[in-house]
Amino acid sequence: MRIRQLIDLVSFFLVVGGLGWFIQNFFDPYPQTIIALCGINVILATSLNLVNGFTGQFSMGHAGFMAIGAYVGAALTTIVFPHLGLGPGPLQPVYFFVATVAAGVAASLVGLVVGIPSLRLKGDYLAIVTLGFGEIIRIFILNVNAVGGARGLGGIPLMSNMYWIVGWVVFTCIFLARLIRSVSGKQFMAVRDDETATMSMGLSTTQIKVRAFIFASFFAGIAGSLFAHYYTYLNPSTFTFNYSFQIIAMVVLGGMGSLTGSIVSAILLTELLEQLRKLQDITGVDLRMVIYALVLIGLMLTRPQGMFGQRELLDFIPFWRNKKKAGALIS
Amino acid sequence: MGEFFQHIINGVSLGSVYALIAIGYSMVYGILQLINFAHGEVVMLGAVFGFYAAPIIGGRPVHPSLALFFSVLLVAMALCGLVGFTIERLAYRPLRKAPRLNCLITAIGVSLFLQYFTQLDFVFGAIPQSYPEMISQATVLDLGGLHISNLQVIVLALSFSLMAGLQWIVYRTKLGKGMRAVSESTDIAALLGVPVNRVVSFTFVLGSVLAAAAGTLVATSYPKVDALMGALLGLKAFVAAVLGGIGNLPGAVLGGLMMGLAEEFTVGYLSSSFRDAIAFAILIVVLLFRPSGLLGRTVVEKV
Amino acid sequence: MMKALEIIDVGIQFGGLKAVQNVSLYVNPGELVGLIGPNGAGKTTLFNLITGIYRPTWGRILIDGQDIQAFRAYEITNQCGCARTFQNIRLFRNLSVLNNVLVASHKKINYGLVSILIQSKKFMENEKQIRREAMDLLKIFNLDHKADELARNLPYGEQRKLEIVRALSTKPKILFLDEPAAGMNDSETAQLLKLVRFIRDDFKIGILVIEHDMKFIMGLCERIYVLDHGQLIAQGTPQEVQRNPEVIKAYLGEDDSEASQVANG
Repeated sequence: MRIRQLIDLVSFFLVVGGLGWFIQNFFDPYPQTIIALCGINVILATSLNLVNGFTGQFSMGHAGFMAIGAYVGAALTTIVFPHLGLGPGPLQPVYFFVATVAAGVAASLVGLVVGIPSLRLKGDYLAIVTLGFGEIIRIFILNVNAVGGARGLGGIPLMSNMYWIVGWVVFTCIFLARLIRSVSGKQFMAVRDDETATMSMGLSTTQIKVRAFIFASFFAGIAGSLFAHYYTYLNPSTFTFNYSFQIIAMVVLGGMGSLTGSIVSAILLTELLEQLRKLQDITGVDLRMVIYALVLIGLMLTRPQGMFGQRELLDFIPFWRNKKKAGALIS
Repeated sequence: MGEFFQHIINGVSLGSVYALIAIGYSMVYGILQLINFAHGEVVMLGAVFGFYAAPIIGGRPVHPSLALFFSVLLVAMALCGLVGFTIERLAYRPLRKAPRLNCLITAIGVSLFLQYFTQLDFVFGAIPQSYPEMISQATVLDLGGLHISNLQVIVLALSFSLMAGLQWIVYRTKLGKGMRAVSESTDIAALLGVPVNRVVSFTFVLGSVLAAAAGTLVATSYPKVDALMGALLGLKAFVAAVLGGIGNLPGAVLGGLMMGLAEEFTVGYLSSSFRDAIAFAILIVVLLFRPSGLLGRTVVEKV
Repeated sequence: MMKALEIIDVGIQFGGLKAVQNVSLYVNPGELVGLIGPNGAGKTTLFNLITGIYRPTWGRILIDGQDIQAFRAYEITNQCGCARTFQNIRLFRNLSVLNNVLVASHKKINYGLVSILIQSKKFMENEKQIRREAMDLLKIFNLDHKADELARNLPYGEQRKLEIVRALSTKPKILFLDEPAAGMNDSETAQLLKLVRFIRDDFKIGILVIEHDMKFIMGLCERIYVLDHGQLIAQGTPQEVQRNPEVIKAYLGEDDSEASQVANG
C-alpha cells in the first residue's frame, strides 16, 4: 500500500512545485493572471463536465456554486479568522487551505440542497431550474451586506498563487479521472446513456446524479475560493449566467464526456477571450462574447461532439491505449 | 381599496404584455419541444427597430401621433417576423433531428449572440437610449382615485386584439390547423401531407410578430431601450408560459396575466427590490411542484 | 420451496384503462416459463409491474418470497434478485461491452471514495476481481474478444446477447426476457433457444420469457401463460395451450401466420 501512494504524493509535489515555480519565474505578472484564470476555468470546466457530460444532466448554474465558494472562502479569511485572532503569519497557507476546503464543502452542501429537488427533472426543465437557482444564489449574495452586497467585497488577502492553483488543478483532474476510470465511475455514464436500464440494474439514478452534482459543486467552490484570493476583490456581478455560459461553452467545445477536452478547451477559450480583449483595445469593438456565442452555435451545427467527443487524449497514444484495454487491467 | 384595484389594472396591463411574449414561447415549444431562448431578444429587437424607424418615418424631432405609432409598430412587426424566420432557418432547422440538448445550447447561443451583437457600438451600443415618444401620456379614466392612462388602454386593446387574431389564425386557417397537427405529432403530420417546414416557419414568424408588438409596447410604456432588456422580459414571459403549461396557448395567456399581477402586487405590497426575484421564485416553485403547469398535461414515458 | 416469482391477482389502471387485470402466475426456480399474447395484451406492462417501473393498483408480487411493494424500483433488482432485458434493447450505447457488464456488477464494489482517490490496495484488488469476473462471464458467451468494443457498434444479435449477459451479472434468481428473439432469423433464433436453455441449466435460475415467435416459445418453455386484453385467458404446457380454443380465438384476426403457428405448433 505504501509504495504507490508514496509515488503519487512525491510526483504530485514535484509536478506542482516544478510547474508552479516555472510559471512564476518565466512569465510576466500580467500573463500570469491569465494562466491563473486558465487554471480556475479548468477546474470549473472539468467539474461541470462530470455533471453535464458524463452524467448527462444539463446544469446551467455552475457560476452560482463558484460564487458560494468564493464568498465563503473570502468571508472566512477576511472576517472569521481575523476575529478568531488568526492573522497573517507562517500559518497562513494552512488557513488558506482550510478556507478553500470549507468553501468547497459549503458549495457542495448548496449543491446537495439544489440538486435533490432539481434532479428529478429532465432535460430542458433541469437546465432552466439550475439557471434559476444560479441567479437566486447571486441575488441572495447581492443582498447580504456583511459581504459587501452590491459594492463587492474587497481586501481579501492575496493567498492564492501559482502553486496553489496548479495544485488544485492537478488534484481536481486526478480525482475526476480516477473516479471515472473506476467501476463505480461507470455508473455516471450509465445514467447518461439510459436511466431506465440503470435503474433496472439496481442502481438509484437519483443518488448517482446527486453525487455528480455534489462533486461538481465542491470543485466549483474550490475554484471560487482560489479566484477570490487571487483577485482579492469579489463582486456578485462576476457570477452571472454569463459566466455559467462560458463554462458550458468550454465543456461543449472540449467534448461532453472528455476530461482532456475540458482541460484543453478551458485553456484555449480563456486565452481566446484574452486575445480578443487585446483586439478590443485596438479596434474599440468588444467582440468577445459575440465570438463566443458564434463559436457555440457553429459547434452545434457542425461538430456537436466538440474536439474530443467522449475520448481522452491518452486514447490516442498506443502505449496508454493498450494499458486501458480490458485484458491489461486484469493481469 | 382603490389602491388594490389600481394594482389590478396595472397588473393586467403588464400581464398582457407578458402574455404576448409567452405565447411565442408556448407555440414554439408546442411544435418543436424547443425552448426558444432567443425569443426575448426578438422582443428587444422590436423596440430597437422602432427606435430607428420612428425618426425615419416621422421625421426629426418625433412628434407624438397615433398614426406614427402604428406605422412604427407595423415596421417593427415585419422586421421581427423576418428575424424570427431567419433564426429558425439558420440555427434551428439544421438541428431538427439532433438531440434536444444540442438545440438548447444553440438557442442559448443565438440569444447571447443577439444580445452582444446589438451591444456593439456600430449596431445599437451598450448604453440605454430613450424610446421616442409617440403617444402623449394622458389619463383616460379617473374614477375615485383609479387612474387608467391612454397608454394602458392601448396596451390592453392591442394585446387582446392580437391574441384574438392569433386565435382566429390557429383555429380558422389551414396553416393554423397545420400548427395544431404538428404540435400533436410532427411525424404523423408530415405523413398526412402537412408542410411541416412551412408550418414551423410560420409559427416562428407569428411568435416574432407578437414579440415585436410586446417590445414596442414596453418601450412605449417605460421609454428605455437597451440591448439587454429582452433577457429579463423573456425570462419572466417564459416563467409565465411554464406557469400556464408550456405548449398550451390559453395557458400562456393565463400565465402572463398571473405573472403581471404577481409582479405588480409584489412591488406594491412587499418591496420593489423583489420585482425580479418573484419571477425566479415562481419558476422554481412551478418546476419543482407542478412542472406541467396549470393547464398543461403530464406526459408518461413509455418504457 | 420458495417460488422464484409469484404474482397474485395483480392489476394496474392508467386513467380509465385497466391495462392488466386479475393476473396470477408463478415461476418455480429453474423453470422456463413463457408469456404470450397478441400485441397490446399487456405483457410488457406486466414485466414493468414486476420490475417496479410501474406500481400495481391491485394485487401482490412476490419475488423469491419477498413482496416487492416494500422496495423502491431500483432496490427490487438488488434485494429480490431479479433482472430483465427490454423489448427495445437498452444497452449503454456509448459504453464498451465490458463497461456495460461492469455497471451491473456494482454489488461487488467494496471500496469508498477515498480508496478511489488514493488507489489503495483494497481498491486495486477489488477492481481487478470485478473486471476478471466480468470477463469470465463474457467469455462464457463468446463476447470477451469484443470487450472494448462500443456497445452500439455490435451487430444486432450480439447486442441482444450482451443485454442478457449484463442482466446475468447481477446474479439474479429469476431472469425476465422481453422479446429476446425480435428481429432474429431462424438460425439466430435457434441459437438463442440453446443459449437460454444453457443459462437455465448452468446458472440454475427461473426464466420468464415474452415472445411472439411461436416456434421459439413452444420449443423452449415448460409452461406458458396467455394474456389477452390484460387478462389471463389460458395457461398450461405448450401442447395444452396450442389446443386451447380461447387462445386460437384471441390470435385470430391477428396475423394469420401467428394463429396457424399456435394451432399447428
